[in-house]
Amino acid sequence: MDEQTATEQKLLQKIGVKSFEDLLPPIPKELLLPSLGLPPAKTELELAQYLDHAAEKNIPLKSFLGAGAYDHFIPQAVWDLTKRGEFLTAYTPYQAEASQGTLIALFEFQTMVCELFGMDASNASLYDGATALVEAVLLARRWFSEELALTPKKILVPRALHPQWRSTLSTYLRNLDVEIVEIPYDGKTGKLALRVLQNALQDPGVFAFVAGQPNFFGILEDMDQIGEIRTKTQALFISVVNNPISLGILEPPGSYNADIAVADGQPLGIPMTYGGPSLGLFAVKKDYLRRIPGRICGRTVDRNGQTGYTLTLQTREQHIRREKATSNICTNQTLCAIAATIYLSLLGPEGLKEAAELTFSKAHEIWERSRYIIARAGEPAFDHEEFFQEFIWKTRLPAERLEAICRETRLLPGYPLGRDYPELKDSLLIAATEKTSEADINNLAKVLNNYALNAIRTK
Amino acid sequence: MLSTLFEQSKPGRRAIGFAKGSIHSSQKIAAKHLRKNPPKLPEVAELEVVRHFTRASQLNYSVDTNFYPLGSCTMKYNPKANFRAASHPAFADVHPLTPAWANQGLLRVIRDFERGLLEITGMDSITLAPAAGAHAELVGILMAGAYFKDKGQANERRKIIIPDSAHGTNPASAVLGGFDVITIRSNSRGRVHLEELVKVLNQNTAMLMMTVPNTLGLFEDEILEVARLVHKAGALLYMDGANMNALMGVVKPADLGFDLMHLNLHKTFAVPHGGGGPGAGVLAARRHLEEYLPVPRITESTNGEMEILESSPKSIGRIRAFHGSVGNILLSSAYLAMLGKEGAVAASRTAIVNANYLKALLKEAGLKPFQDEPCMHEAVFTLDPKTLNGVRTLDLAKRLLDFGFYAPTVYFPLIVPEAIMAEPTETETPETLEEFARAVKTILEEAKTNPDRVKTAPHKLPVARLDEVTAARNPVIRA
Repeated sequence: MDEQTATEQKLLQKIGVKSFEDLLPPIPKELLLPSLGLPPAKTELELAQYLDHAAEKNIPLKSFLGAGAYDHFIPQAVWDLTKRGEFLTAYTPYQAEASQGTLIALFEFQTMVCELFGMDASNASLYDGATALVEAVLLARRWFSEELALTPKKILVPRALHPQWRSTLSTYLRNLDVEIVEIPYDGKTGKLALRVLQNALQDPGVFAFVAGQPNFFGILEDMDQIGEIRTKTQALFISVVNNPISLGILEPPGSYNADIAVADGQPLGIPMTYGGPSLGLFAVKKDYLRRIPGRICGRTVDRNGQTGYTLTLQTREQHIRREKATSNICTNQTLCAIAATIYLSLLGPEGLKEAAELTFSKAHEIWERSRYIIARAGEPAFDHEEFFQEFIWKTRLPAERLEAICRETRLLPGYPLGRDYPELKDSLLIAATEKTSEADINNLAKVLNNYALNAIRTK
Repeated sequence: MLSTLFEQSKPGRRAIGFAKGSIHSSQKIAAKHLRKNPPKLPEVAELEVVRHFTRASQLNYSVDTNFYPLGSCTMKYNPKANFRAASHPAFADVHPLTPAWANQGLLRVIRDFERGLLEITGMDSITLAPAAGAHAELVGILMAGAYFKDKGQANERRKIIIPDSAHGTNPASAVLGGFDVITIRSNSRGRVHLEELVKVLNQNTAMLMMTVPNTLGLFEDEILEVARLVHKAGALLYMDGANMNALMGVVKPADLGFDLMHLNLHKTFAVPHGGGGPGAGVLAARRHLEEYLPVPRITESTNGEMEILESSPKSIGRIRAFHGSVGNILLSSAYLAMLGKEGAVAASRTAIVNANYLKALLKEAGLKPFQDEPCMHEAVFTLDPKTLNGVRTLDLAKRLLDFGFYAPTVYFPLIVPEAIMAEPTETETPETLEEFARAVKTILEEAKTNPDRVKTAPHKLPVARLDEVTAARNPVIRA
C-alpha cells in the first residue's frame, strides 16, 4: 500500500467508515464516479514543453494597438513584490488582524485613485473599466431612485466611447428598463457633439451622461465645457478616463465636475495578457460614498488604540444585503490593485508625468511622420487638433488587405475601426506608448508607406 | 503598525524615471487640458517601496504561510508550476485585439482547457469570459432571460427561486439581471425544502439556483426530484459551482439535470485568491442554451484553426471589455493539465476525506456539527456561547489567529447560528488538520477557564482586535 492509500485508510477509520464510497451521496450508482475523458497527468517538465510548443504557434507582432489596452513599461519591482506568496495566496481580508498587508496596500490604492482622479472616495477595485462604467451607471440610477425618489430611465453615452464598453453596458442593462441614448461625435473634429448633448439633457428622463477623456478616437474633449454642462442639469456626469497614465499631465475628472470617474487600470503595471485580468478603477465625490459598489478598506484603531485597517461599510455588500446590495460583486481585482499601487509608488508624480509626456510625444512623432504618407494613401479621419496617444488614419485600402500586409511584415499598424464604426470603414486607430522606440516608428513608417503604395496601385 | 508610504514621502525623492519626453511646439496641447496640481503620490526611493511592500506582505496570513480553513473559499495550494503558463512572455504580452491568426497557440491552450472543464461538468458549451463567480452568475441569469424571451415567456417568467443557504451573490445577481427573488427556507437537514419549493414553483418561475454541494457542505440528495419538478414547471435549473472541488470525477452536474452552472477558477482550479481577486468565472451550459452565451467566444474551424466569434444573433452580448481574465485561465489550464484524468478525481476524493476527517476531529474537540452525517468538501459547526462563558464564534475565530491559523468562515451560511464553516481542501496533511483541531480544543477549554483571553483575542498579531463599528460609522478610506 502506498503512502497515500495508507493515509486515507487511517483517516477513513477515524471518520468511522469502511471506504471512500461510504462518504458519497445517496444518488443512483451509475451517476457516481464517472470516468473522465481527460488526458493523463503532465509532469512539470511536460507542462513546460506543452506550453513552449503552444508558444511557438503564437506569432509575435510589433503592434500599434491601443483601443483600451496599452503596452506601457512595467518596472521589475512591481511583480517581484506583488507575486510574494503572502499577497498572492491570501484571501479577502475578512479577518482584518491577519490581513494588514493587503489592507494597507488597498488603503494606499484607494488614496492614489482619489489623487489621480481628483475625487473624494474610491473602492478596492472592480473587474475592469467597462464593468466599472456599468457600476457607475447603476449608482447614478440608485441615486435618483433612492435619494431623489425619481425614476428616470435614460443615459446619454457618446458614440465615441469604447465600443466594447458600450456593448458591455447594454448587456448589463438589457432587463433593467434603462434606455441608452447615443450622442454623436462631430464629423470634423471627432469630439462629442456638445449641442446635441445639451439638448438631450433637457429631457427630465435622463439620469446620467458619460464623456471620455480622451475619447475612444484618442481626441481630447473640451472637458471644461462638459463640466460646465453638468452645473445646469440634475443628471450625474460619469467621466471615463481612457488611460490613467494620461492623468500625469491631464486635468483630472474632479476638476471638471465629474460625479463619478472610472477607468481601466491595466496600463498601471499590469501585463495585457490578451485582455485580463485587468483592473476597474472607480471614484466618486463624497455624496455618493455610501452607494459605492464593492469592497472598501477603511482606517480604524484596535482595542489598544493603535492604527489598523479593515474592510468597512460592508452593509452595502451582497454577503450581508443580498438582493438589496449595491452590486453583486464579491471577488474583485485586489492583486492587480496592489500591482498598480506599487507601480504608482515607484513612479511618483514626476515619473507618471514623464511616462505621460513621453507617450504623448511618441504618438505625436508618429502622427507627424505619417502625415505625408497619409496624404498619399488616405486622410486623417479628423483634424486631430489635440490628442493624447492615439489618432485615426482613414486609409484608401480595404481593411481586409491589412491582414496580408501584417502577416508579411509582422507589424500591426493599428486597430481597424470598420466593424464598430461603418462610417470609419478602412480606418486604423494607431497608438503609441513610452515604450515605442525610434526603430518601431521607422518600421511603422515603412509599413504605412507600403500601405500607401498598395493603395495607389489598387486605385 | 506600518506607516503608509504617503507618510514616508519626501518632496523630490524618486524611484523610477523615464527619459524626458520632449514635447516640442508643434505637438500642441491647450493649457486648459493640463493638470494644475500634480496627484499627491508618494515620493520615495525604490528601496523604500521594496521594504514597505515586503514588510506589508509579512503582516498577512496566506496559504503559502498558514493553514487557511476558510469554508466556501477552497484555499488550496496554488502550485508554482502554473505560473509558467501565465507569465510566459508569448502569452503575457499579447494585446487583446491581436487577430486570432497570430494567436493560435494561446487559443489552443485555452480551448484544451475548455474541453477539460466540459468533460468534468458534463455540459455542452462554455465561456471563460466572466471575471468572477458573481459575474458568471449574472451571465447565466441573463442567458435564462434571453432563453425565455425567445420562447415568448419573458413577461411571465420573472422569478428566480433561491434557497436561504445560498451565497449572497445569487440574489444580488438575480436582481441585477432584472428578476425578482423568491427565497425558500431549507429543510431541517439543510437541504432544499421540497414542499416549500413546490409552493412557489409555477409558470412565473424562470430558474432555481442551487449550490451543490450546498453551503453547509452537504450534497443535495433529492436533486433528481428537484430537477424533475423544476423542468416540469418549464423552468431552468442553475448550479452555483463554487463548491465544485467536491465533485471532480465524483459526479457531473449535467447528469444531475442542471441546465446552467458556473465555476470559480480561483476555488476549484487553483488560481490564487490574491487577497480578494482577481479570480475568474466560467459559465457552462447545456446545448439548448448555447446560442445565448456571451461573445467573444473561441471556436474551432474544421481544419483545426482557432477563431474568435465576435458576434452571434442570440448572444446576450459582451460582459466586459475583452476576452476574459486570460492570465488566470492559463494558471488553471496548467493546473488541470498537471492533475490529468486521475488527478482530478483524486483531488476531490482527498478533499472529501480531509473534510470528514476534520469534522471528526472538530467534533471531538467540542464543536457541534450542524448535521451529523458525512459531509462533502467542507463542514459547518456551531457553538453555544451560553456554555462557554459568552465566548462567541467570532472570538474563537480571532483566537485561532494567535495559534497561526487563519479562521474558518464564520456566521455563514446565515441559517446556522454562530456558524463555523471549515474547508481543509485536499492539499493539507492530516498532521496540519490534527494541529488545527488541537488549537480549537485548547481555545474551547480556555473559554471555560479564561474567557476574557479569548474574547480579547488576537494577542500575537500586528494589531489587536480592530474596531469595525467606528470604521463604518466614521469612514476614513483614504490617507
